[in-house]
Amino acid sequence: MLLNQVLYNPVINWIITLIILFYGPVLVVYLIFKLIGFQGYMSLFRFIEGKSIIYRMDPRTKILLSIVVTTVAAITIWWISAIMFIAVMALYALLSNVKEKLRVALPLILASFIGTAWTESIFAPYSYLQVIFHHVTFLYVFPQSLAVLGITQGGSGMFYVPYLGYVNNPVGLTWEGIIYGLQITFRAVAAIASGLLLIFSTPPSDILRSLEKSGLPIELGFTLLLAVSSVPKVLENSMVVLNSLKARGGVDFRPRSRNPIKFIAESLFIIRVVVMALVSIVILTLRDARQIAIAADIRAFRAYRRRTYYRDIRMSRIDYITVALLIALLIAGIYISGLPGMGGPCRITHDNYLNIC
Amino acid sequence: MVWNGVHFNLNTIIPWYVILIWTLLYFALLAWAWRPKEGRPFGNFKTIDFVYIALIAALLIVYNFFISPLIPKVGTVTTYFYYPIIGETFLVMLAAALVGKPGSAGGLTMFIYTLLSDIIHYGFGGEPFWFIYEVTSYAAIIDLWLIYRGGKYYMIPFRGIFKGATDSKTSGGESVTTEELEEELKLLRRCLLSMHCWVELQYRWHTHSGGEAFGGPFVLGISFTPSFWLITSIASIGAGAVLGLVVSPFIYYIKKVLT
Amino acid sequence: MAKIIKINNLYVRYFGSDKPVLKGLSLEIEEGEFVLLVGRTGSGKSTLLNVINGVIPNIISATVRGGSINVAGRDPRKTPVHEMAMVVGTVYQIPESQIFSLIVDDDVAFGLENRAIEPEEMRERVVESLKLVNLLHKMKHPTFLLSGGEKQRLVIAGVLAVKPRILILDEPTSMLDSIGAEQIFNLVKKLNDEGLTIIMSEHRVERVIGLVDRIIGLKDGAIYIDDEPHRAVAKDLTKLGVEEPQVTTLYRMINKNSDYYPISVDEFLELGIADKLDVVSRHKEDDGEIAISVNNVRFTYPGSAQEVLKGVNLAIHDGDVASVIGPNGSGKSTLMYLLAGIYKPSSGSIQIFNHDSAKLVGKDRVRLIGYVFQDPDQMLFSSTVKGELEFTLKLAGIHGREAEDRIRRVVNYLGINDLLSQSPHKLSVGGQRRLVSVASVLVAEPRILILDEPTRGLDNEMSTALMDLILTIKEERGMTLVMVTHNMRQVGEYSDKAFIMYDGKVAFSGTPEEVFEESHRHPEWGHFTTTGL
Repeated sequence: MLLNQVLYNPVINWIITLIILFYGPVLVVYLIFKLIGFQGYMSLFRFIEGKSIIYRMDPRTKILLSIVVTTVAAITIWWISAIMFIAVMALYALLSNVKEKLRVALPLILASFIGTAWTESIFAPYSYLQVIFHHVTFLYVFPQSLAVLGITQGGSGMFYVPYLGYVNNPVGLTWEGIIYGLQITFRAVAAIASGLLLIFSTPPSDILRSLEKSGLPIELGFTLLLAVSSVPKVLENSMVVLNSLKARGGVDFRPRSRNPIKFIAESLFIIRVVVMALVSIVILTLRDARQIAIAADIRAFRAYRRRTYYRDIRMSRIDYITVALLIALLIAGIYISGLPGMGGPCRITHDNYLNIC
Repeated sequence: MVWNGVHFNLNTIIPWYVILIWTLLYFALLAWAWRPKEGRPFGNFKTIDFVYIALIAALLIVYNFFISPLIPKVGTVTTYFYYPIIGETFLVMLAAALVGKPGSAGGLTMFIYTLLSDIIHYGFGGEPFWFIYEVTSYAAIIDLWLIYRGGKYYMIPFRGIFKGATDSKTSGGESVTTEELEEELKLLRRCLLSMHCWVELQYRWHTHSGGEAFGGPFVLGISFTPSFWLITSIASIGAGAVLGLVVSPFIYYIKKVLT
Repeated sequence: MAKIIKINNLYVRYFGSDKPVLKGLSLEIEEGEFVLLVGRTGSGKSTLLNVINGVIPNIISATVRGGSINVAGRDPRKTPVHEMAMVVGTVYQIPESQIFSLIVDDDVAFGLENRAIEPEEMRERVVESLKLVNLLHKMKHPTFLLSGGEKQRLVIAGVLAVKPRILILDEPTSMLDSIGAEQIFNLVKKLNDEGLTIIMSEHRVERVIGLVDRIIGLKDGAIYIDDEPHRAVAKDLTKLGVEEPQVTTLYRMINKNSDYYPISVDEFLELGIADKLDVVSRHKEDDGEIAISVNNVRFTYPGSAQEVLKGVNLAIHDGDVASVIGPNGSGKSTLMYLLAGIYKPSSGSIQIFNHDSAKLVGKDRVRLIGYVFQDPDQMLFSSTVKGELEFTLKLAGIHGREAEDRIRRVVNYLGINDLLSQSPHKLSVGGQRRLVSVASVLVAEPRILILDEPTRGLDNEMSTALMDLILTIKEERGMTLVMVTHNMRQVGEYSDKAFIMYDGKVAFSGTPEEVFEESHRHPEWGHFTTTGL
């Protein structure tokens, strides 16, 4: 029973809990920042020409690919998503300079795995897990007092917890939660991988041209294009502002004082500095708006309704074949989702707080 | 019935027809506000308005993908009160304040941002409910406010200071003396904030509680009890008012600096 | 030749201001002329250019009164801006604000697509324009990876694609390094030789004076000088706050009352008076304590594979003014970041007054070393000037009376007492905002001051005033200055020592005279010579 005393010693219990609660997301950030870095993220916007089939396809076909993959992933059981994910990743072989692309794509996918699996493993309600897996195995539980802070796991009952015995309404890490998290992630990564495939193989302006050709107003096309091409500049502005803040004396972003009043004062100062820095970034970004607008007007933006396109965007034979295949995939997906036990249990969501299912 | 991940569960706290009417009304009003002028869609939008929206969408992307992940989130506390949303609120409201035309907040800024984040981060889901959800819930109230106010975001009688809000052609360069500024700041504290809180409150109500009262059950198939919904609504309205208070002076300052 | 621009008795006044910017200005420009427009910031140069292309009053509201404006047979006030742009192409200061696409050729096509030019012709024109600006080899390049000079050339290509007859450039090189600026000047000259009419406003007069046909000097909204370059300099451009070529200044010292002054070294030498000059070489002994010593520093940005600094060694003595020069991308700014402690060297060490810089943090660092960024907006955080200064002091751990004293001292030094309660973001972009950014660093009274292009975007008069002020403070407080600059005149005039950065290393160091001499042998370092004397 030594292990019990070590693992569930209140201090150690709290430390492990806090690490799990706080450092899961931090790990994701670490992955994205350390492995991709700003440079890597910028390369998302750096289109490199290629010759293979995937580059010759109409952007709309690739958009459809992304939509179909996401839809089928959403409505069918997880391993179909996994197969589609692998299939999409196989298409990456058609990209030129695959290595550099994987350097960006893999950490994003990995981060998605860790991020989703992490949250699900802790926060998936075990009442829900019981429906899917018919059984819930707790690996480690958090202190009961967490419930006071509002952290609950949406279920009730007595559960056996290793080294601790039976616990009423436990909150903690479950084996099924982790499995479930991983399953859900396959849906997400299939979607992400197919979206990235579109970006890697199509110049952004061609994506917009194809959408404009299909009726997107040029105002929206322009705004989208300007937004995308401003992202590198906003990132650069953010870096410079943070650097200038460091040069001014390196604000320490963690309050360190032990005296509670000083701690609060320090925290407030930090918040103020963060807000000041954000305002600076916003001003630095927006102050050129007038100049940009003049430059766009001079170049006849919105001057005429008729418009021509620099590049021919046309559906070719390969596009029609691909579209046919995609429609077949979609129909198969809808059919499979109707089979017992093959439907998708849950949906990937955009923001965290709806990610409850 | 589950299709494309949407459960179509109509057992919701707010009846489905209220939401349907709300959504239709919103898009109808937008269509009216954006009726073509001189053969151009988007009514009286000027080029600079699109530029502001594009730059703010870029800021939103950087905020949500780079800065927000750095803000530590405290487990379930974030579920009740997703405080990193303050940056998003701030930027969307800034767009409304700078552009000051109906549809600038939800219709365009959120639309552009959602589309882009789908393309470059989440994968192009093409799931229509997300668009409708993000566009109608996050900032529709601000758009309606702008339609109602005829484009004047702030509710105070600025003597010509905000000429730029309705007429983006007005050039900057007018200098404001300190006394004038202070006088205005006093005015600001009195009436502007109350208004701003109101908008913010609506905004929060719709994002959070709207999500639970309708979006949650309808899309995700999970049900909330009305009491739970009520409690979280009150909590989020309070939080929303605080966010509104915090954000408002900064928006005011930036607008002042830029126009 | 035919007059392409005729302006008669023009008055322009902005809304909300009671003083007109242009007062009764009349002007005629011939087709094919190359006109240089000079004057102080605020003298009305940009306003004049924006009237010619119709941006005023069509986009920027202003009252434009008075006589006639005729640009290639059109009145820009009554013609839509995009139609005027088919005749008058315009290039503004900041290249990034004029590029809308991610890929080079897409950006050139932007204006053509909007004008519904047929795809076949459009593709031809894109290639043609890119060829003109010598960017054809980067056709498929991402725009944000171009250098400043390349970006500005791309902007010019986009403007040229609609085949205008006049090209207007509003301080096109103020955001560029010397190499970028040189590219633009050469390109503009080439375009002029091919028959394009050019009107350019520019602070780097010395570099372009030899290229232009005519100089128009504005003063308080009216034309003060309008003449051929040699005679224009004779009328003393310095009265307009404009730098004149150094040879002109020299000649003025010798021959006060000429109406024809030399503007290039060759002309100066032809006049045969060079031997009347004594060359005085100043040489400061390397004495005193070493303020900064950089030992074999290498550096790679996190997440990047490319090494930016490849073994930098340098030593700067206490009380010196050291200039760091070199083309963009040579690692100058990165080196400054390292000196300021923003990043730590990947290997090697930096000593600041015998403290290991890696261990120097927080308050100790602020009191030793201050960093003035290139763009004041990058370092202004507060809503008042006073708040800005207090913010620095708070980070430096200076409170109470001492803080008040310091604020008073620094605002007196810089003459910004009356700005204390104003918003730094609302101050004039050039002078005042820059002064506030300097003040916000100086208030901590650091022993070393790093200045990153302190006079970028300022007109000559403001630059001189700012540099003199900083040097006075430096003398009084006994500071060490490290200055990154592209302005060789500043290097020559103010620095004791200059370091040339090239490809992540210090390629050469010495007195400014030695550096200028050595740089003749290394064109790849950029064009460091000002006049060659």
